[in-house]
Formats: sequence, C-alpha cells, structure tokens
Amino acid sequence: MHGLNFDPFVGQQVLARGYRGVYKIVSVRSPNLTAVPEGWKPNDMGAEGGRTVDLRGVASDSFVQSVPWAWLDYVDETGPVWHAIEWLKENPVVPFPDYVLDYQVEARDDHQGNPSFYVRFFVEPDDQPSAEKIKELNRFLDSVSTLLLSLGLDRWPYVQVSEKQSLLNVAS
Amino acid sequence: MSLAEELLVQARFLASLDPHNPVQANLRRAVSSAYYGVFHLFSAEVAAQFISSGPSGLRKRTQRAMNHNSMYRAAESFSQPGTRPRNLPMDIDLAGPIYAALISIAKGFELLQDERHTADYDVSRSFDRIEVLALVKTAEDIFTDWSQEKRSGNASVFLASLMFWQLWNK
Repeated sequence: MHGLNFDPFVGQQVLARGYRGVYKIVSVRSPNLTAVPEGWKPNDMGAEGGRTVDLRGVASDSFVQSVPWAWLDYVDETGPVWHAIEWLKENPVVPFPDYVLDYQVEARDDHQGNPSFYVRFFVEPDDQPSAEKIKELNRFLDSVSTLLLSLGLDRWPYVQVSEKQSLLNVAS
Repeated sequence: MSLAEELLVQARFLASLDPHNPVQANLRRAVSSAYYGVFHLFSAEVAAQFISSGPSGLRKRTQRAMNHNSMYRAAESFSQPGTRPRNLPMDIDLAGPIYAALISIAKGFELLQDERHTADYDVSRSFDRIEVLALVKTAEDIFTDWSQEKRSGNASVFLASLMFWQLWNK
C-alpha cells in the first residue's frame, strides 16, 4: 500500500474549525515546497506551508477559501475508507470497472450489532449483466474488501454494489 | 442434489426471473436462498466431520444445532488477514497459514448473512438484479472454493469453529 495517505481530497465532506455546518472540499492545495512558484510570497504559504483546501457548504452553498488542513475534521468515521478507495483508484489491485460510476460509505451497525462500514459502489443499470461482468465485479469488490480489512479498522467493512438507477427509484 | 445445492440453484433461478422488471420478492428470496445454500453446505460439513457413524438422525440433529451467530463470529475471525484467526484458542495448532480461498469463503459467508438479514427484514432497502447476481455468485464461489479448501489442513479447524466458536473460551 505504498503511497496510501490520508490527505484531504476533492469531494470529501468535512467540518472546518470556526465554520458552522458541513462542507465539501472543492479544491486541495499541497504545494511542493522544494519548488517555490514564481511570484510566491511568504503569506501565501500559511501556517501549514500552504496545505489548504477550498470548501463549499453542503446545505448553505457558502464558499470558504484556503482553510488549512489542520482545521479539518471528518464528518464521521468514514474518512479512512474514502481515502483507501481513492488510493485504490490510483493503485488498483483489480482495475476499477468503467461502469462503476460512484460510491458511498456509511458507518452503522450490521445485523449482529457490530460496528461496520458499508461501502456501496453504484454501477450503470444493466438488465442482463453477463456472467463475466458479475465475475469481474465480484473480483473488484473483493479487492476493495481485502484492502479495507488490511487497514485494521475498528469497523467491519461490507462492500456491496447497486445500480445507480435504484437510488433514483427510492428517492422518487 | 443436496439441499444446499438445491438452494443455490434456486437462488440463481429467482435472481434471473422477470428479465426487464425484476420483482423485489424474487430478488429478496434469491439473496435468502443464496445464504441458506451456504449455511446448509457448512452445516452438513460440520455434522459429517463430527458424526462419522452413529444412529440414524444424529447427523441431522447436529446440523439443527448450528447457530447463525456462532458461524458469523467464526467467519469474521477467519476473514481477518494474519497468520491465525483472532481469538482462536492458542492451543489449537493450525496446519499452516490460512489460505486466501478460506479467507474469501469466510468473508463471503459474513456478507451473505448480513444481506440475508436485510433481504428478509429491511423493507427500506431495494434490491436490484446486479446486486443480487453478485451475491449469488459469491455463494457459488464459496461452493467452488470449499470443494478445494475442504482438503486443506485448516478446514477441520474452520468447521469446528463454525460450530463451537462461542464455546471455545468457556
């Protein structure tokens, strides 16, 4: 798992110290300190050497610029799982199938009352998926579950799949 | 064909019904059948391991004594990466490392049991075909993997764990 880190990433939901409500990260800055950009001024770097994010409110749509990483908190315990999956996108053990559109992570108890993470990948609707596609999908889901288990998290990882469409059906 | 195999076939059949508009009841029963196929596969294996001879009905009674919760706990422990399952009593010597196939079997069992619970009781969740086919395939893979893994040195420990996990440390 070389390179797996817990840096913030675009799309992650966070709390920011001094700001009310939940925000989504819209950009991440992590300047390479060995290469000072042209026109750089000391104040550009901030307290953390310029490692900042820009945020947009989830409910309010308000925009906050240049928030230091140290001011961020995960909305819930799912942060490490998001990080691991984002890392896996860049370092796939099994390639991300191109029909995987999105994913969500939820922290809740399973049917036995054990603290668990539920990772659900959303795929393009397909009335008659081939056996080969299901096989490939399961291989992919298994690779995610293996990675999450190897992290030794406090919650048990369940990795599932759904069609994107079924979410729309439930919502409508 | 054994009951376990029949349930697996039924799971695939139910998951494939209604080509363009799958019915929730069929998809949910498919998930349930997939889990129970695996449950009965291991119940029968455990009973066969412990009751090699004896009066008629003893083996079936042993199968009936299997406990979902204990099986879940054992599967959870065998799913963990590492040299030996967590909480397995130290005086039980393993034949070697736990192979990937057995880890995969244990992970699949746990997933299927949780999904079976959702399928049977949680009406707020909606199942779709690809999800259910993936779960049926997980069950089918467990059957396939077990046909090889049952000959491994650690298979007997796994089977005993399914039966006795909650009693090991009394």
